[in-house]
Parts: sequence; C-alpha cells; structure tokens
Amino acid sequence: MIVWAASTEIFLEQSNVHQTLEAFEKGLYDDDPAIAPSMIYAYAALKSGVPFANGAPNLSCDIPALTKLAEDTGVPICGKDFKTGQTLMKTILAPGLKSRMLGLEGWYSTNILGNRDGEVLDDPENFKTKEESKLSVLEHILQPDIYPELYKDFAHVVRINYYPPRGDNKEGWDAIDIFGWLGYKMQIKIDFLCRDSILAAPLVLDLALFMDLAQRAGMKGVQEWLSFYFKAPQTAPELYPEHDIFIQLMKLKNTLRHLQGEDLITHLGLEYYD
Amino acid sequence: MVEKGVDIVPASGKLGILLVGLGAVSTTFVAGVEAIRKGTAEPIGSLTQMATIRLGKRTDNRCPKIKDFVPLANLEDVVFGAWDIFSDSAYEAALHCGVLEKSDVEDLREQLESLKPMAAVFSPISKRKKAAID
Repeated sequence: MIVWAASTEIFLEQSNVHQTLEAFEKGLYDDDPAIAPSMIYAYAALKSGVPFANGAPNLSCDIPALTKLAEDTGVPICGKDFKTGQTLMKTILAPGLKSRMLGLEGWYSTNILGNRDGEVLDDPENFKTKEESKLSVLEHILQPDIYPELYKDFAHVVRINYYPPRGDNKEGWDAIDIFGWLGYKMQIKIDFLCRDSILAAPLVLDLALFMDLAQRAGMKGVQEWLSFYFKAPQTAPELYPEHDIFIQLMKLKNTLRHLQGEDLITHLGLEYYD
Repeated sequence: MVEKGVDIVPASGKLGILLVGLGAVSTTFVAGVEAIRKGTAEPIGSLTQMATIRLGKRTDNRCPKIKDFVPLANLEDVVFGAWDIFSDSAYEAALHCGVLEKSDVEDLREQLESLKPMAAVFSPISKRKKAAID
C-alpha cells in the first residue's frame, strides 16, 4: 500500500479536470496544472490495485475522478491529513465541552515549528490547504447551527509560524474562551510541547495494516471507518465528516466487530439490571 | 455495504509499504518498526499493536488485542519502499531531520541505510522555496 507522507501541496480547488476519470486522464496527458503530484501517485496506486492513504491535507484522492476509480478497481482509499498535535487535542477536548453544554466564545491556536513542514507551511499558498483542514474541525464537532446559544459565531484562529530553533518539536498554544451557567466566562490554556513525527509514525503503521485488512476483506473506495486518523476525514459526498475522536474510535472498533461477525457495542447496559 | 462476518483473505507473503516522501514522518515510522522488530521498543501510540477490543457483554470478559482479533499482517512481514526528491537514504534523512537521537539512528543504521528512495514526481518549485531548500 502507499502512504502520502510528504509535504503539504499548494491549495487547489476542485475543477472540471477532477470530476471524471476521462477528464482526469486527459489532464494527465495535457500536463494540466490542476493535477497535483499527489494525485499522480494516487492514480498510479489505484490503477495498480494498491490501497492509498493520504497523510497530508492536499486533495489527492479526494476528487470524484479518483474515488470513482477506487470503487471501479476495488481499492480502498482514505485521507486526509494525519490527526496529530493541536488538532488531536482539539478533537479530544471539544467533544467534552460540548457534552457538558458549555459555550465557546473563541479558540485561538498558534504553532511554532522548525521542520520542513513548518518551512513549507510558512508559505501562504501551502498554509491555505492546511488552514482549511484545521478550521473545519470545531465547526463539525460543535454544530453551531443546532446550538446557536452556545456556538454561534465563535472566533477560531489558527496560525503556523516557522521558527527554526524548534526543529521537529512543535509548540502548540491554545487559548480557549468558554462560558458557563449565566454566561460567566472561563479560560483554558494549553501549551502542548509535542513531537509531530513521534505522533504521526504509529498512524502510518496502523493505516498500512488496516488498509491492507480492508482490501483483503473486499472493502473498496472511501474507508470512512478510518476517520480516527485524520484531521479532515474523507467521506461520501453527501455526508459530513465525524471529527469527535470518541465517535471515530467507536466507529473503527464497531467496524472490526462487524467484519468478524461480533455484535456491535452500544453501551446501553440496561440488560445488566433486569 | 460489506456484510457482517465477511470472509477475509488471510494475510500471506510480504506487505509492502511505499512512502511518498522519505522525511521526518517516514523515517521515524520506519525506524520505529525496525526497533520494535528488534525488540528494543514498544509500539506506543499504535492501536493495531497495543489496543484491545471488548467483545460481547461486560460480564463476558472477552477483551483480545485488536491484532489478535482481526487478521492483520505481522510486523515481521512488512517491507518498505519510498520516493523522495532528495536521494538520501533513510539513515541520512533520519539524521538530517533530527527527530530521533543520533544514538537511536545509529542503532538501526544497517536497516535504515538499505532504504533508498526512488526519484519522486514533483512540480516545478517557486524561487522562494528553492532558496529555502538550498
């Protein structure tokens, strides 16, 4: 199987060349600039029957031409963007705040990092790809449309600054402004001195083994059950992604139970009190 | 939808993991798998290697490791390949990235040196980025 573990590519909107396999293949011959290198890897993987996982936020296999190709060739795909560092913390913390119906006024996140990832993301074109991936997480978890009293118009700012002295050891600062009963304000500060590659490496291993398993189980196309590993989980076009890490974990484990013919676990538990 | 209790083809032969980009994440991943295979590290952070999965009722006491529950490939059967725009081996790249301590990289020198990247597909780069890389 193939894993994209390279730098974030520059931001690309989906365009006509991404919509159908015919258009995509014509684009390949014509050297269309809207076809990014990562899409060429994904295309080659799918044509060769090899599962493809995308660890960066670039579109890669998240375009209709390639999701269709994955289904036609019976190959599993998944993405995007390994969930490590700050977004990992966000998807652990935000579901907890929401589960207690605590409000959010704003979430300010800034990162300083000094590896090549930081260097590439210091470029606005590449950061735009990353920013889109990072920003959508809170919206999807908190559902401001359903809970306007708690989450309407919260301020969400994400910054990345290239700062060479830190090397691969990123520092992620979060200043979180929440409010509770009678609207009284509270603050949470997180200073995560994290190591991005140390957090990402086990995800590469898990994804390689699970994608191989999926292929042997006859699962093809988008593997939403692996959302657990991604900042911007790839889903069917009509679905919103699940970002809550606890939902993602339950989804993953229930998928394994389903594959092995075991009962799904609902955590109902009333049966113990009959 | 995949049916419940589907037949899964057994894991046989080698599982090739091809990494696009032989940088910080990839070299740290490969070094970790090699260290685990040598028995000098635990697979910390990996659900497939460490996590358990509860089956049945809470009173059933069935809680196998995930890797013992579903037929995953064994770490012994994993082989690596990579592409990169630089020609450094995984050993040189790991030293350059500076994620792992030099002594940890040296312990795995032989395995890491054997992983040499294939030439990567890459878009022409901007002057600014070229200057940064140079």
